[in-house]
Amino acid sequence: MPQKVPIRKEEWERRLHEVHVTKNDLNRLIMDYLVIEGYKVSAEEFSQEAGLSPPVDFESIEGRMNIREALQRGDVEDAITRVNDLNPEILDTNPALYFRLQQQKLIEYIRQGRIAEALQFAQEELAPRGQENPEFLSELENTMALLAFESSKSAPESISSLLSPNQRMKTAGEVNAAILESFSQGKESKLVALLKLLCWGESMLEERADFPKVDFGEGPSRH
Amino acid sequence: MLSRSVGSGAFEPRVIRPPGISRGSCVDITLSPSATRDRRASTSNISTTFPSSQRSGSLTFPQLSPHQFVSPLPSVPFQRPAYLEHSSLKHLLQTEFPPLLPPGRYRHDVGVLDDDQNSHNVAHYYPRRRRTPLIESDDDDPFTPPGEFPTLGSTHYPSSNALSPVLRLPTRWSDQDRHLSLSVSPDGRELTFVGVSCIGDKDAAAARANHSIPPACGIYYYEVEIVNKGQKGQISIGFSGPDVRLSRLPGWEKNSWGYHGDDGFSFSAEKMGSPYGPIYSTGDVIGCGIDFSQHRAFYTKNGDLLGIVFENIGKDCELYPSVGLRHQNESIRINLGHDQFLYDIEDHVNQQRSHVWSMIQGNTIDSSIVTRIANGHALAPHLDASPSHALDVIGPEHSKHQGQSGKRVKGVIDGLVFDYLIHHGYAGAARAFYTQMRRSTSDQNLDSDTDAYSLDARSKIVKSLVAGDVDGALNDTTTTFPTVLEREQGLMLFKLRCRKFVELILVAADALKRIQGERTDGLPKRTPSAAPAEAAQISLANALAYGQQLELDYKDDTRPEIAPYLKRTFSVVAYEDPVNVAGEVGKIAGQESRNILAMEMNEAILEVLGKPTQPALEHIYRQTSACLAQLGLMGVGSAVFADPTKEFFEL
Repeated sequence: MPQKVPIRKEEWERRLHEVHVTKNDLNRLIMDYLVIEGYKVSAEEFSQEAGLSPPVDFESIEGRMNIREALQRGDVEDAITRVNDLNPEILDTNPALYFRLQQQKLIEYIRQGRIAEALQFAQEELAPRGQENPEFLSELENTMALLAFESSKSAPESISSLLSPNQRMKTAGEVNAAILESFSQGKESKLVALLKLLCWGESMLEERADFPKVDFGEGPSRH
Repeated sequence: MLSRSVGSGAFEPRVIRPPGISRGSCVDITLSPSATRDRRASTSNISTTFPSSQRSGSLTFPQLSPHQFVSPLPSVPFQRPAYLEHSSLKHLLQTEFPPLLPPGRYRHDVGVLDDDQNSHNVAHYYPRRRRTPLIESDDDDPFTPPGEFPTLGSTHYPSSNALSPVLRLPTRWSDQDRHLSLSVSPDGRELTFVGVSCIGDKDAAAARANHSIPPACGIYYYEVEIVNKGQKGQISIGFSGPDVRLSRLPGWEKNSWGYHGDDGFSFSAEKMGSPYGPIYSTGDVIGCGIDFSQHRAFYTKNGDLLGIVFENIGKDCELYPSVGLRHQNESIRINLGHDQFLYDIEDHVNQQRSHVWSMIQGNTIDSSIVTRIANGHALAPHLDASPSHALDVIGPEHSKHQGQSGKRVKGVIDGLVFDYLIHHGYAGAARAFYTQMRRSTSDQNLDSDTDAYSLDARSKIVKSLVAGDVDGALNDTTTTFPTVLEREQGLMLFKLRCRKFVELILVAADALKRIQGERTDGLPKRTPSAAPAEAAQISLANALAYGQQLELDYKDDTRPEIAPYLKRTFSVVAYEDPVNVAGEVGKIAGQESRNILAMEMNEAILEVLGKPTQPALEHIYRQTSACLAQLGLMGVGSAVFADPTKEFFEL
């Protein structure tokens, strides 16, 4: 490995200073985040205060958020209805997502102790899909295993985690991404992409140069 | 002998040329630089950029300063090829020198990295051997003159040339860096073997282009047309380093790579080679690309991709486009972007660019970065420390990071957004965001944050300035942040007063416009009422009186920035409708100028409050962009394909 190039603090600060970026550019990053993450009220306020037109209409943000909230409180049926109201093609064209929602519904039955309904739902709705796709089948088996381990502490992590709030969030996240995609919007916010780019850039440069890496927000002033 | 290999002590076959060859450039073997130049000048038969005195055979060349560079060779000018637009450092890649650099988003130069002046030169990141000075003339260091760098904080750059290195692209075959059996056409694009055909297995005659390939291209591509394959078509097309012997075909020696026409084999510093593509001969166009993001090469034949070849190419050595020939009359013509390429190289580059982007975006966010964000700005911690709230809203991405780390990332990004909103005084959005984030309507933390940042008072002042209400802003500042007006010997106060003057002029101009509108509306029966005319006169008188007082107050101020600022401010008086004047005056009068002043005011208040003057998000963006630009300059090809401007700001 060749020797690392040292870059002095003053030199680095000069480079940071010379990067061309405007407030308007950054405002758009913020707006993108508010929209994608579903902060509807904030997006409206921000749009007004910053004089920035939003990339989507605010109602669609609200629609997405209602779906997310329905899933997070365990009301899968409501979520499915809302997704179809928004755009029926989303579930029609995405069998994996539809399966994920059905699986979530099964989980919610089990969580509520409605075992008979869970079994019937699994046999009628999920098992036929499992036969079509081996991946679905193994997911289904995992979920059904919840019945065997019911209220038992010995359930393996991969099975017990299905009942955790994380599983709901995961499903909600997948649905959110699918909706964003159907509106041909990025499904990941640009702020997340920026942080990934920062990680990559710093780690690459670290191999080649010694340069200042400070905590953010305490950085160099512009004066 | 003009070959580099003389310098490195390697064997060079003495070429005896047959008498009939009239292409003078390969006969003259005088080494004196002036004689070489003379020869070039006299044989050139195409229009050049030289003054006519030089073209007519004068031996005297204008004295160049050591850092000024003018190509002594005639070369057909051409634009930077379109596929290079995919490099984030495209503005540094030039076919001509000195170039007129467009204002780039990045104004980085390699700069003073250590005490060694040579570090100005990007190429010196390579462990590069010095070349023989005698034949250096065509390759003089074209990089940054060691001019003075502006001090941190200055906002005016005399010229971007002084700040940015210029990465010169190959534009023709070098007239020196070639085997003497090869002649170069006057336009620098054609090579013809004019010596005695090589007989020995190892002998050949190679040439290199006039500049090495800047890795900041990301991908570099050129095409070669086989004009005449000669008897055997033993032609090699590829790349070689500066010190590779010119008496060998590219691909045989260390630091050289080539694809051979007679057998279709590829050679990577080896004598035997391996089967690679079809053979090629007269009329074929062979494309040759190097991908610095993968350190691999690829070739095309008549516009079709032949496939990836070679590993680790261009990692530790500068490379030149290079071609080798072996027999009389063999002739090739190079296209370095002079003409349209047969292969769709733009699409190729674009695909690799998105591949690099997906690769980068496939990673997860490193926890040390999250920590540096969380530690850095004052607003994050208590947002971050509340997983129960962070659970409420979770993005699609974060669901992938299961558990704590995902929540932490989400919390930290929320913190960044909140910090940004607070910083710029977007009070309404900040409140709404906080409420949505926390799902609660009252929170002491919010109050303590907003109080610490004086969100409401600051926001009000900023909004006043954006709306042009200088008096309102001035009054509020005097009451709430008096020190802001006192700091830097009242610089902010001075700027506010200048703005106030501009606003008064705008009011007067507006009033005048209204009267003129009445006069020209074609209805003369009603005489213009006296009131608006009078009002206009009064407002103009007001403005001028304010201006006179302003000048009186500051005319003896010797601070260097005061007089020019004042002068610029007063220039708006000269125009009837300053806002709609193009150029500088329109800018001073217009909304953008209000916004800038509002931002300066905001920063001044934050500074007085002891807060960072830029939001953490802006710092993050600058750090990211600076890292990538530096990587690109250091020759990391993938970095130039990760262009934050393109990915984040271009719609």
